[in-house]
Amino acid sequence: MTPSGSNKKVSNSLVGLSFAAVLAVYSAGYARTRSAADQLEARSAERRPANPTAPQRSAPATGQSIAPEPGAAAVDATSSTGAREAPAAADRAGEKPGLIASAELIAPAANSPSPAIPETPVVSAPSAVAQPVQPTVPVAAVPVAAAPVPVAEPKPVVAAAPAPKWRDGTYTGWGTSRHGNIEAAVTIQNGKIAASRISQCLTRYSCDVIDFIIPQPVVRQSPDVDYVSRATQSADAYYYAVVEALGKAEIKSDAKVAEPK
Amino acid sequence: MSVKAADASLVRTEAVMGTLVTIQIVRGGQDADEAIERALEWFLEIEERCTRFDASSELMQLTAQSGTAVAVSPILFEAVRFALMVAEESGGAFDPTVGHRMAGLGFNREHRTGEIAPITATPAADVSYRDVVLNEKNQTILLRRPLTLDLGAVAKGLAVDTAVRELEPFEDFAIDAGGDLYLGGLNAKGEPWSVGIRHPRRDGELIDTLLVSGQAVCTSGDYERQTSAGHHLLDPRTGASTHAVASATVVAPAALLADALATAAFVLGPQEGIPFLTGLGVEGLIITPDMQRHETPDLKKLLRRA
Repeated sequence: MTPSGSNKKVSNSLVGLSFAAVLAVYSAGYARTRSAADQLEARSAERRPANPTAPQRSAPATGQSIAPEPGAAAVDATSSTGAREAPAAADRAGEKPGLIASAELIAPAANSPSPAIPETPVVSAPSAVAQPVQPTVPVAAVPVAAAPVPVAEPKPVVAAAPAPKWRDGTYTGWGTSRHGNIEAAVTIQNGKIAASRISQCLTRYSCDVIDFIIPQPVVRQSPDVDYVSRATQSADAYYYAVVEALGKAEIKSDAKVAEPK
Repeated sequence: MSVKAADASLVRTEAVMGTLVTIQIVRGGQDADEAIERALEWFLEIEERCTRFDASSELMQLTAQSGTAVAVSPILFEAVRFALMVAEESGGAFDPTVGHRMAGLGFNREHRTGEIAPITATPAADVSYRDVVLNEKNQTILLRRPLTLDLGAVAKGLAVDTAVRELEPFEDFAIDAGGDLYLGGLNAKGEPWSVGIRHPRRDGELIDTLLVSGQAVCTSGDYERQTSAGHHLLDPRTGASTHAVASATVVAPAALLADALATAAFVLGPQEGIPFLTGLGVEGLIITPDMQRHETPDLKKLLRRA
């Protein structure tokens, strides 16, 4: 076999396999790291209240009953990115390569004892919020957005989220699961979720299995997607990814960028 | 011991896996010390199982039992499985069975402590990763012929990635395991981490600086660990040190991947290596001994503009 140039499937399997390997090792050893596991468990417990307004058109029988298995909580630890509070995510909205930085780490300087410690904890300017871009996968042009969908139905309000105030644009977020990670790209138009899609599927299994929940954030104007029988991990990862993306889109009432916590 | 810096970030350095591992958490909360402790434990545990410098390690126990399917721990199984996958994808440019050849070239000494690797039966000249057979259901590994597995690159990457899991709740952190880096979130200034790529020929100089967030960076260079017979990166297809590359850097979502692919790219050289990395969806920079640069098309998005 020769190194193959441009097979995208290959890339997904190798990247996905690296995540799968790490998760397998981590979950096998999680007993040693119990406190981290508990933390995650707490997070996944609060992760989704029953979703009363969600139309049960998919997998109705399995819908609410599938709680994350206890053992899975440890692995869900990896979901921490998605589970973090929206404001925290919003703080990071300015995150993009190409801003500025000072050298803190020198890659191959194997034996330098420690990276220099930056001296000033300055927060970057609020104006940076324009277009968050994942370093590897710039979403610069994601014009998928269809016309904004007017939402006539009663708004399925999520307890934690106040009246949604999102900035127009396309935002990405990552959700993780024990089977790998999913990146969602959410497009906000006129303050509403106009489109939501999976921009990168790095799960061990194909993301096709959760196809039907992908548009649900548009219909529901919230990240609350259905549980998917036999694909709970992927569905959760997508949920977390949308939560993170919406966190980046959130407009803070206070114009200043929040301080680091 | 961990050091609390003026900006409240927590930094700690320990000697593990034959190198220095430095972990920095930007906003060290009350649990940060514990998390760093757990992260470092992963390094110790993975090293203990995967080192070829200790005859009692699980890896060397496996090596001693060629011809038998041996049940192994998840750590060893996953490390070997991933190594074989990369071997397959790279057409053998990366091959974990080069262990014996490294010993033959004098790389039988743990380069920090000076420990000598145990002597093992001399394998046939044509052993390759194809002589390693996994049984996923039984979690066993079978070495069809006597051979020595070198999991150095994979084990260190795996340790970094499991440490990342422990540190993720803190969002903004950095791990430097002797050149295997993972940069989580943002630095103390709220900016992407800045990672210098060492100049392969001029000590103390950088050839480039990358801005990285949520990614691993790894460089394989011909300047590390030389012996009279050559440097430590061998072409598994010939058994000799390669000469077409001075350094190969890979930026990937996991350290496991970055480390293995940097090794593969180093062996493949720029002509094969760049398309290989591009096809896998990761970014890379290969410098040849005459200081020519070869990079994947999207690497420029990570380069710090002057």
